[in-house]
Amino acid sequence: MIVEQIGGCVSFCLEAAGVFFRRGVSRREVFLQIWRVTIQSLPTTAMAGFFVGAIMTVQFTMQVQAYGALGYLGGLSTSATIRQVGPLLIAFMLSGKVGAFTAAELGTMRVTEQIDAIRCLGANPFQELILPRFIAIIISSFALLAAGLLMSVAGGALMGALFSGINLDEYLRHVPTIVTLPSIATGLLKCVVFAVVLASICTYKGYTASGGARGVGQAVVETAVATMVSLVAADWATSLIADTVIQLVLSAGGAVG
Amino acid sequence: MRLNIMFSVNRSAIAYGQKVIRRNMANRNATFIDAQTAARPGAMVQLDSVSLEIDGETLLQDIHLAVGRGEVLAIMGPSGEGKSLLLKIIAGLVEPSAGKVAIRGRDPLTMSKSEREDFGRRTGMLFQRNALFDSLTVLENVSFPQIETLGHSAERANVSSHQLLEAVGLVDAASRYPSEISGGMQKRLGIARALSLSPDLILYDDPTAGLDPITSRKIIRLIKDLQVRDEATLVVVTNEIARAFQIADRLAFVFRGELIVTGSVEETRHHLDDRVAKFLRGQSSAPPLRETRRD
Repeated sequence: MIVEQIGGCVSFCLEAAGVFFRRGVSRREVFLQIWRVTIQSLPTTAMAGFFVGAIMTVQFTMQVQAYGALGYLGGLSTSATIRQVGPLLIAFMLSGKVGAFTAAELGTMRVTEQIDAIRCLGANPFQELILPRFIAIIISSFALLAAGLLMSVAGGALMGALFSGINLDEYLRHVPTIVTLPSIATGLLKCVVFAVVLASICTYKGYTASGGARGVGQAVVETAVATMVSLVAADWATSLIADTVIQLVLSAGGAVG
Repeated sequence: MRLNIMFSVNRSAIAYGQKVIRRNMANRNATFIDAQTAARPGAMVQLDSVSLEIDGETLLQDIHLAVGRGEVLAIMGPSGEGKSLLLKIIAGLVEPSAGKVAIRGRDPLTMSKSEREDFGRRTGMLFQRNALFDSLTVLENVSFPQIETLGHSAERANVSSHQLLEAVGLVDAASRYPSEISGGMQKRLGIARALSLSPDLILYDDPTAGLDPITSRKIIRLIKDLQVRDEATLVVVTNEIARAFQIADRLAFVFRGELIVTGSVEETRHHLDDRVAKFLRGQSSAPPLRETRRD
């Protein structure tokens, strides 16, 4: 069952890629979708990012205070947020908002035969519906995740200043030493991977919905479950790959040096 | 005794006579059905031995059908017995489990992408529940295929869409959304959209479903007028006998996945199949529901 679903999703994405390379996609429609997704999710993503950073600061405050290393709070909190917790939690939130909306929208179009109608009119549903949403979700989710991460840094700094008794300069002092370029690259890589995972699953589930209102509800639930499980798995995989690549690059750099 | 023998001989003679008549009628019927469904060179729609099975259940079996160019075929039959599925097979939306489908001589499912686009341009379909694009206005619904399929500019598409909306009496509702117009208007919009690419084959899935008799008569008249104007081939699925008789050149029935092509209205009225006769009389051909005893 799971293998069948994964296979279906992969072949769906390949079909979408094929249509994209063969026929292209309407830029206007992609921009419209980007605008819609971004406007729809920016406030909640920013808020979620802000509180993720705040939570991490509160958590790290207790630990670094015990070792008298409050000066490292900003660096540790920001590093953990950007590399691990931030992308995952913000992606979870996006899956609930963008993923559920897209699956419900496409699912409704499927069960009301609008997708069949597009095919009957000689147009391609992938070109008209799937690709604009797919591309827009990837671009918007990446931008939203990045914006959410910035907000998480702001949330962490504010929480540090308000509740941990550390001023902004002190909070930010060790950020450049702990939050290195590979950390940022890892965070951004995760943003890209999560955006692709989210776009693939929600468009696939919506497109393959069947069975009326109940079917649409089922598609939305399946989207939420599949997205969250896939995001956790993707988080683990990207962490592993990124760490391995970083180690290899560092050791190669050391050998050269 | 003599009287008994005479009665017995008479009964035998009558039984034999009935048997001969039944056999003759069956032969005539079989010949008639063969003539109605036989392959026609240059037919717009040709189905040979088409069957459809989903999850082990046979929904359509051994369908043979030929629809000539410019012909109007009405398909009737009880609900849920395969009429809409048959239409979707013709539209290339459902793949049959067995058999051959040819529309203008080509199978829609084996067409290349460009052929498929051309097929879409030349085949219009009105869905049972209209399948209108609910996020587009009435005008945009009609313009959509012209812009997306033909690549016309929005201005050019809007001009011809206005003409179509005028033909179906929806110009005043052009800027409204499908959810803001009545059921009859939605049907007319569906017809306008199906006609927007000037197709030569139009498939109507229950065009009068859920409409009052006056509106449904108007819709059928509109469909017929447009068919006469464009000389298109129509396949119309309907449950309304009067409407089917009003519009069709030939009629066919689907009973439990089996297609019976009965011919013209007059031939249908005198068709020998018991299920057809019962359907026309408004009687069920399904087995009676078992009565349950209440204690």
